Amino acid sequence: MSKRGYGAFRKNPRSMRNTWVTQSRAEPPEEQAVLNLTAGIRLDGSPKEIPLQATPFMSNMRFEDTGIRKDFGVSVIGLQDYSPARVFGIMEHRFVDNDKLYSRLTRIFRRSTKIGFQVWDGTEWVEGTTSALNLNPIPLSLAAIEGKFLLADGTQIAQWDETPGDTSQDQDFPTGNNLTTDGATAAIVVTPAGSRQDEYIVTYSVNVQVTLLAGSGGITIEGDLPGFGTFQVPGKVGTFGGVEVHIKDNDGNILHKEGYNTITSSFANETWTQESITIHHKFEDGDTLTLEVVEVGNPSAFSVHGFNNLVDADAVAGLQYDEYPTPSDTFVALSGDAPAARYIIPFRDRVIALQDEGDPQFVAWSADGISTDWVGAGSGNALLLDVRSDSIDELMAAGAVASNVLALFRRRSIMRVRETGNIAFAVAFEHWIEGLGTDARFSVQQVKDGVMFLGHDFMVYYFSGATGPTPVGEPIQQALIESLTGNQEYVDSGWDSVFGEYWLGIPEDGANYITREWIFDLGNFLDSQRSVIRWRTRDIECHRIATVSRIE
Amino acid sequence: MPESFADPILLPESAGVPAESFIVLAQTSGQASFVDPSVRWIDYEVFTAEWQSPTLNRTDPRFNMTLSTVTLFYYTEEEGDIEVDGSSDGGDSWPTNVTLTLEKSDSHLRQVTAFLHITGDDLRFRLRFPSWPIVKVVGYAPRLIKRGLRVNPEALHG
Repeated sequence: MSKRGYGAFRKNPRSMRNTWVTQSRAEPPEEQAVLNLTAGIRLDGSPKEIPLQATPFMSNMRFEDTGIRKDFGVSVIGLQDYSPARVFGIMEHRFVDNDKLYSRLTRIFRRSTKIGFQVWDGTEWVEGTTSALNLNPIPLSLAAIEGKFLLADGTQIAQWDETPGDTSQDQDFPTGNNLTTDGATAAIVVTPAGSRQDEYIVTYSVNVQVTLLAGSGGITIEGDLPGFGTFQVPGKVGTFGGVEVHIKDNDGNILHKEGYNTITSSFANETWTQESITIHHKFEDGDTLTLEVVEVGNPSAFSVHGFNNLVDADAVAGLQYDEYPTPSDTFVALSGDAPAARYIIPFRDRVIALQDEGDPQFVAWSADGISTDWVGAGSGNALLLDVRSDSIDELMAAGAVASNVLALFRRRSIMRVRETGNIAFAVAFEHWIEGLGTDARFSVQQVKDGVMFLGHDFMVYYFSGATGPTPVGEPIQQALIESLTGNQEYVDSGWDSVFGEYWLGIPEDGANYITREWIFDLGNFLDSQRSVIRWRTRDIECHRIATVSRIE
Repeated sequence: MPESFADPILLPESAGVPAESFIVLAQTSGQASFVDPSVRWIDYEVFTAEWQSPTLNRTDPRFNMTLSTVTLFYYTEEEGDIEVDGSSDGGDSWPTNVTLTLEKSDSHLRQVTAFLHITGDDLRFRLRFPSWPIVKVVGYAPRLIKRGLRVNPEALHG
């Protein structure tokens, strides 16, 4: 014992008799600075080691700027609908038609052993006809391309099609119609309704006659000149007259007015042979579109004729419009040549399909812009047998890390996929990253400037084409190792672009559905470059997660 | 065959740019739900929320500490409650429970103090929101008092 230590013992002999050494007086409280709550959950170390502004446990709490608050709740879509026992896929089917972007929220489930599906129409779930195709009851891979909604279940690729409607709907006004009196009308029942852009073209002709004044009319103003003389301009002055053509909706509201007037001193009438008016309106099926004529001024006579192409041989039909795309009502096989894929993803106007009838190394791609063509020029397939990190290295998923680079995730490696420009072998596969892959195919999620995924090592990575995989899941890795003991096929993910958040849903303790969400604030991560690690969590029971752009 | 799938929903913004983004959940109940910033419940029930602090007494493991008070700094849009619980055993138990009433703060920062007075070797507190009011806690200040030196009697008596 050192001299100093011995001295201390001698000065305080009572300490030997007590369990605790009590000081003669309590020290003043330690003044603590205010700790801002800026960081997220940390489970990767002892609570004594994690930053004071972070937390070792958090549920249903979110970070906002410098603070924390209670998280958001959820609203049910379709209050009364509980029908699907298990939803194997839910996705927003988005497609572009005629320069407009459309969306349909669609969910897939099993009816008996077949494919059943429902579409949210803004008010309720509308169910389609159960397909003749069987559905393999596993979490489905879904994709939208070319106006089609595709699903892959390991035994097939099936499609729900938005077939283009009749793009030239022609409907005629009644044959021989001739509106010659004030308030006269001609009508068309709009069936089928639903113009692609709510745009309708109405065509008619107009003739207006006015009376030509006989003799010398002119203007005479008496007493207007000095000496109260009369101002007189001799000459002919015709009458003014015309019509106003009204186009009305089913409720009699005027959608459009067009005036046709003439004033004449020499011509007795004027004719407009083909007037095409474009109106924008939402007609329901069976609504009436009415053409009405209203007299204006003093026409001696007039006539308006709504066009009838079929019988009256007018140049075009009285009503022309492009019909909506018409959805088919059931799922059908995409193509007899398409592989029995487990995972599909659109890439460069092609469908990339992973696996075929359980062959874990098979990859195929459709022809450019033709998702039904799997044998023609530009399509192809390959067996990716050259493996290094695993003897099989099953193909799991894919995600675009740049506009022309697809990251192909295998169980223990990641390959790079790109378009070659050579139609003979249109898609090229290259080794990229070895020793890192994923066992959770649906954890792969397109996020801002890259992809996020759950690695096979239970680490969550952010993977951009520029920087490669960056681990962001340190705080929750240990928790995932301990709790993610179920089948990783049930792992799913979502991307909230408004809040910049990656949602990772995992089945805990062997469950066959998602019991916990881990939520990562990627937007903040990218802004701060890891100065804070923002994970939070919430308990929820769900089968699948999707990101949609609109719910109404 | 369905009567109709109705019309596709036309997005209101310019083509290619979605107006909004939602996380949609296909729940095990058979319902589909979306995460909604404006609602306060899950499955029609107000859900609990919890934030737990890390260990506060980390200066010298030889000393016991007392967590005397925790002062919270917050904003809230309306008056509401917040629960502050204290633990002296690293979160194994939460014997000290204080419910604080938070006053409407408008735009200025308010503060409120919970008197916990717990002594132990792993001091933590947790926040819970029993009601909905949008409370935003931006920071906290714990008041720690150093107590006696902990001595292992076995080490002393050999």
